Amino acid sequence: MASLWSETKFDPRLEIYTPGNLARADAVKTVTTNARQLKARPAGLSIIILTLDRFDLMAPLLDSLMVAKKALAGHIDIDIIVGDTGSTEAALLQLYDRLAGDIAVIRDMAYQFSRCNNDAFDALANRDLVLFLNNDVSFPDATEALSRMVRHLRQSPSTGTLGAVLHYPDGNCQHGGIDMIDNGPFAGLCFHPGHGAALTTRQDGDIWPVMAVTGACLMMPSALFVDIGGFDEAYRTECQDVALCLAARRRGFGSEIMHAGKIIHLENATRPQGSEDWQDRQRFVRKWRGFMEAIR
Amino acid sequence: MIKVLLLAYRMAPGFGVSVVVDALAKSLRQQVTVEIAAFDIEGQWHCPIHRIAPTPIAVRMLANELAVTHVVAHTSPFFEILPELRDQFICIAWEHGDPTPHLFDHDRQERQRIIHVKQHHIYPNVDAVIAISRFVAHDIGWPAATVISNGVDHVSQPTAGIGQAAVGRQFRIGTLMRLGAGEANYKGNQLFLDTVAEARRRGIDGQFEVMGRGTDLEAQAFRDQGIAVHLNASDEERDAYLRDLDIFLSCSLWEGFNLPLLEAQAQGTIGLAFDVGAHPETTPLLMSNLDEMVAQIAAYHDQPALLAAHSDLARRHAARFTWQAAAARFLAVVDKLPKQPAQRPRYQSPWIIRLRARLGLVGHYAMVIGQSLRRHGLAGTWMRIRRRLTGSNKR
Repeated sequence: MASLWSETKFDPRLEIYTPGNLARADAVKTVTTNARQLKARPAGLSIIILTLDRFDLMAPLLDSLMVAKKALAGHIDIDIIVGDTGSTEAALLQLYDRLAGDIAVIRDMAYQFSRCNNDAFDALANRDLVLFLNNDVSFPDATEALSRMVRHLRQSPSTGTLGAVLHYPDGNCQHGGIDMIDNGPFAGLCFHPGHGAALTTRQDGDIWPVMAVTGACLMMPSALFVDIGGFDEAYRTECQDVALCLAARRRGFGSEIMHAGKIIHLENATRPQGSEDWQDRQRFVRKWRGFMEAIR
Repeated sequence: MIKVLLLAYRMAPGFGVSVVVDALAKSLRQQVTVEIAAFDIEGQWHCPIHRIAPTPIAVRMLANELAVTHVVAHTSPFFEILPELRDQFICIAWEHGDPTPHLFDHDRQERQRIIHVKQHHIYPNVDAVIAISRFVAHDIGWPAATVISNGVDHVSQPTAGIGQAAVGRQFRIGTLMRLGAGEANYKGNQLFLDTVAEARRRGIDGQFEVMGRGTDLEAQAFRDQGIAVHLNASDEERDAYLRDLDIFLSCSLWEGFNLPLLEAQAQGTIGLAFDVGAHPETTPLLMSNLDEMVAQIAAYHDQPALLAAHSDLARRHAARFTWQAAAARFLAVVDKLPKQPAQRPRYQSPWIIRLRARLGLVGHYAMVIGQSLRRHGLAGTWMRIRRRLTGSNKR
């Protein structure tokens, strides 16, 4: 069992009470009514991808998703929504034009992960399932992976968020679920168990429960996304995905991860390493550490 | 041999510090001798309590009479006395924190002054500062304070597996708060009313309740909203109330610990609170705003299985907070301190300590009297000085 907070020495960067109590009290009193309304959404999958340029990543990703969209048409209706945060690459803009009618592009979004995903969802996600996908993910067989994830989510009503095992190009594990650090100066922060190692204990097709999954590839029922208020926009750059999974868990819906083939994630292809946001981490630990400890 | 004197201004039912002092003393007594002294005493406690005026002379006399080695103050004005006693005793300030002054209109300045005095004259001039939560250590501006969480095992705890989701009875959501206007902003009275209104707007069919100290007149605003009000309940009624609710809701905008929130959870009642004060440490179900709060209440209303699961979760969370652990941590703090004042370093020799304390006290009382003169006039100030010196509590 994790130790009481009073028994832990924290890293000074994780001073969770840095915003004074008055600022926190003011934030509580600010009424932020959930604008997302429940509405009937026909069966299917809305896929939301945020991007800024990176034709090199987007072209193969959209190609594979288009193949899946056509292959699964009538069985799983797929809508592809791109939230573009100001791309200027001519090749990417031409790709958008070429795929017009098959994909929907929301242009000139001001990048903030939570807000852009929420806005894209509000504007165009009309299916009963939604998949949030990073632009640096690539599928060897998107048709197979997506159909398996959708099938599992439909068959398992207690699953709130479903992720996919993500690999580095060398085959080692990039993401196999997220867990919490129990003790020590970073207690309450999250880590990726097995990160960088060979995935030896799991096989293609395995599904297992985890604390949370990455937002790089996260599928969930749209109704649940609406109910929990979407991504928490108070996070600037980090922790939104784990917070989303935990918010779903707090409503009684767990997180699971599926080994759905060798899906590649070029981790941080769009964000440099070393750009940790300690303000987000403070907020995350303050809000969710107690809950994570309690559900262990 | 360690003999501890715990000091609190008031030992009375309904006051969290009183519960802490009583439960802590009970647990500490298994290992060391403990005495309690207070100025204002009501109700029944586990050990006899010495009545004492909050003056340095009175405390010194009692401490000598009882032959104590350690003096531990839990509240003002005993905090202010500690530096004066340090020449003879090991002195410890056990901080429960002070609500953010800006949450009060009528005595904001006085609250700021008390915090200033403690930061500048008390904490630097005692042997140790203990805070009841990590939040309090941060909020009092003394991060070096040792954090010792309160226990909660003074309340009876249900057996594992008993969920609160009783089929066929009304869904009950309640809170504890003082109903008067003085603390309304700090205790989040309006936030509670807003939460109830929003919950009803979303179709949550439940009984909303408030328990607390107040008058019928003060209760009327709540009754007008269809909220059941339980005024001035006994400790037994309060325990039963916390146990029988489905959800205990805290709308307070500052809490150094929030013992009732944990007491409710210890009895299997889900404890929901906003992200303020020490709530991140005392409930696993922390809400960022009203919308999130109401949505979570709605989920419990619609899913009895979730209500039962989180009732268990609350109970398990609370079970980690024990008085035995608090007592052990306190004794570990004591163990690291000098056994007697004479063992302190030379620069902390008794006469230097006494001189520093007296200078600090002169400045402190000059500010207190000045403020009192402005607020209460000459007659009112004289009455208060006399009351303090004679120990008389009569107005």
